[in-house]
Amino acid sequence: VLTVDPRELARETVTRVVEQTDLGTAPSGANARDLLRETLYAERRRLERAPDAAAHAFFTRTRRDLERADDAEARALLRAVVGRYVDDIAGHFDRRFHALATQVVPRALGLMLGGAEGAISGGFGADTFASRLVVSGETEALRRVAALGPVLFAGTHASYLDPLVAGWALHRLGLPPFASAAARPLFEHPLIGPFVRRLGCYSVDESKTAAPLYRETLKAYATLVLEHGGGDLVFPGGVRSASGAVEGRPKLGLLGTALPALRTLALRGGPPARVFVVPCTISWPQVLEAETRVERWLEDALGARHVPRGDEFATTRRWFSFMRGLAAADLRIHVVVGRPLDPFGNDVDIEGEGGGSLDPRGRPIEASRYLLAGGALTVDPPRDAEYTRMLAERVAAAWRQGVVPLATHVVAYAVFERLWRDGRARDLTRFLTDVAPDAMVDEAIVEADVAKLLEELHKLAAAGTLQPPVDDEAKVAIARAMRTFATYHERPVLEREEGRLRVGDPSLLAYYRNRLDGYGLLGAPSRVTRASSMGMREVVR
Amino acid sequence: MSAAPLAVAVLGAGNWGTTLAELSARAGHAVRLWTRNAAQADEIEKLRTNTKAIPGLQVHARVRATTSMELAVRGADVVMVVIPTQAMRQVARALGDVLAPEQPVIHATKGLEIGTIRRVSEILREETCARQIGVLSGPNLAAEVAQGRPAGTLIASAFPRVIAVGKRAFSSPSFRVFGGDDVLGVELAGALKNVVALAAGMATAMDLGENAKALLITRGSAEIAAIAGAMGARASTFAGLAGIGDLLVTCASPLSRNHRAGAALARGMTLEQAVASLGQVAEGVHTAKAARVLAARHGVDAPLLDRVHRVLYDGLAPKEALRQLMRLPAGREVAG
Repeated sequence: VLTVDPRELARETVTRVVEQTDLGTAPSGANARDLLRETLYAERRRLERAPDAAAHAFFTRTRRDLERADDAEARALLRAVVGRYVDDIAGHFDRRFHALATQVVPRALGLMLGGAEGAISGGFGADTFASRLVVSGETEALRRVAALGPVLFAGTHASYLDPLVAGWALHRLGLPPFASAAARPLFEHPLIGPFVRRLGCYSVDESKTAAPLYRETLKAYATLVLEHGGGDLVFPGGVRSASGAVEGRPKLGLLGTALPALRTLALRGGPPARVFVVPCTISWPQVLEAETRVERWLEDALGARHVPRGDEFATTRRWFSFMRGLAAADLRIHVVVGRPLDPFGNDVDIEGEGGGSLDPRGRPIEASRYLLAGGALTVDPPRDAEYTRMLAERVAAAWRQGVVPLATHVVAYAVFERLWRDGRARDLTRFLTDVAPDAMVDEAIVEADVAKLLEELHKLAAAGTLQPPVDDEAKVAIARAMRTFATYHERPVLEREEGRLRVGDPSLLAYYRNRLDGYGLLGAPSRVTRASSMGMREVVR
Repeated sequence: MSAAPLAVAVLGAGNWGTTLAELSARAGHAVRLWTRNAAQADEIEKLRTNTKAIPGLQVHARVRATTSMELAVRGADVVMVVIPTQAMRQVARALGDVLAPEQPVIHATKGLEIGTIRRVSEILREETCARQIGVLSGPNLAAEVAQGRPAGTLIASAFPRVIAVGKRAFSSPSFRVFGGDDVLGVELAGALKNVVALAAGMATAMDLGENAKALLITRGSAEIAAIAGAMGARASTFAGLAGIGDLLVTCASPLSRNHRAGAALARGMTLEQAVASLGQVAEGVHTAKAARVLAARHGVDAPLLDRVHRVLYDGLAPKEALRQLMRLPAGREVAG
């Protein structure tokens, strides 16, 4: 458990960012003045889109002061800006509640995910929610390494609800509460905001990540959490998957906190330092924000202009409807824990005592030595970024192995691929506009395709490529998927109509299909296109 | 950068390994040259010669030969691996027993593992704890470099420190070492060029003239770059020392094994006869298979590499291969 006083943690964060800037060892490598200038520019751009009088006044004053500041004054301005960001990121953090979180988590989550429902139909509490969550994979290994050193728990990201689900999974495994990176909207949500603040979540504001100092502050804060022995739950995919596919290319930012934390711990001496990274895949049978996410993907993938619009997350009515759907269709959310890694992406020895790192042939190595140069443990931003890239590859591979093919994914995949082939769709635009809308497929054909797909999935699962599908029989899978699709989305993804299945929402069909993209199932190539600079389109190849 | 001499380990005492060890020793560094052959280590230590690798070379006093991997590698500032591709995995596994995580490893081996089509840096990743990995490649005929004649090469690595230490360890007034970061491109260029060298050997034996040879080399280079590009390598790498530079020297040198193998085929020998006449298998004979698999896997059209493969394995006559190539529709020279 994180034992440090939150105000102390905030102070240390400011000191850390200022030190890194002085030494030129900040990941960006820039000096105080350049960092401030770039940050002020990014803030000006942000505030043009989302006006905020207080912030505007602060940054305008900072810009004016920076123009005539000497080096010492520039440093003071840097402290002020970083201090403001720390407050923004961790201002809600309350240690008393964090320590109490073992008790708070179940009740809060029960209320969050069941309370709304409970208010309507009565009696959907924490217990019911607990039965909705299936935690599997390397849970024993996770427990073991958590006792040996801080753990960076790296989850796949589809929904703003992911931190709650992953936090709940950790609690179920009997682990002390983790600090958790949670998106800004979670904090502002009328129903769950109050709980999120108490759960030890710190906020990640996507709209501010263009500002280099914001990124450095966030990373320094998350690094210090690990250095103080706290577990940290992060979503290195950055934004919620827009295509529905598992993120193929994690961002390095928060993943890159494990390495400097290891270095600090190693410099303290004593027993060999350990920091662990544990990947985790969350599989949702349906996703609260699927409609707006997939729209975002299509706008990006098809080159249309992005029109910002309200997220389902902010709409209480959608929220209720989603929860009702989870309850009514008896759906389960699957959390698969991957094998623990060291900050360089090596396996760790979970059989032995110390949790030491292993080379690819299983020989013990001392991981902190990767940071040695000229006999000292050094900071070397390009080197460390490359190490973290190697870690990210392992994490991405573990994520793909952790995918649980649920009925909605399987049926959407089978129907999508059937229509794509029979409709001779050559590209996504044509598929979505000409082929799929109101298209009908005989249920018998779908059943045969699903049966074939399930067989392929079982084969892949036996080879360790992904998790076994939940349903063994095509009929059962189709029935479950149809039940699910009938509950929540504005337009059902698929509907039954006289022995046939009709496509109600082609985009959502693609979204749920994409979860199984890139495994070569039913002979289909990856249809999720290459990554854009925004990371909206995930690489799956 | 400090001028203190480095401890340099070189694994492999063939002609290129010995040459690199020699270069580094001449530059003032302490070199430990590993070979699994005890007699060869003995010869170097006692007689200061390495007759099998470079006849006539007087091995520098700062080169110490050993058969102990541990003695060679422990404490080295940089480990240079110069082992034939197909023996690489075995040697890398032994290296993994003694290597420390912080030690930079550079290899100077051109080829792809048969069967797995793994690149050498991938083998090193799979068999050792090494992360700071680099590749040295360029137009470097070992004999010329050993004589101190001017040459240049490239070290590519994602880690700037690997390039820096590699430059310190091996550069000299007669040997220029450039830096880059396209490890994938350099490794693919080094391996696949051997297939083009086979074609160039055929062209020489068929006496097609210099124009034809240039045509083959340039189109071969374009095909290699297209395959590598589809795999994620950078096109500019192929305009550099490890790309066209290496290809030029390989195709210009009638003594290279690949060149001789190609010439033998063009004179009507079968692959078996050509291999028998050389006494050893030219690397390009293996790589031609890998090139075909990679081209297919990444959906790249590579007619020249394909015809070399067919000459080697499907009994296509080199003359017929040439005829086919000359009759293909000639589209835009540079794709995209």
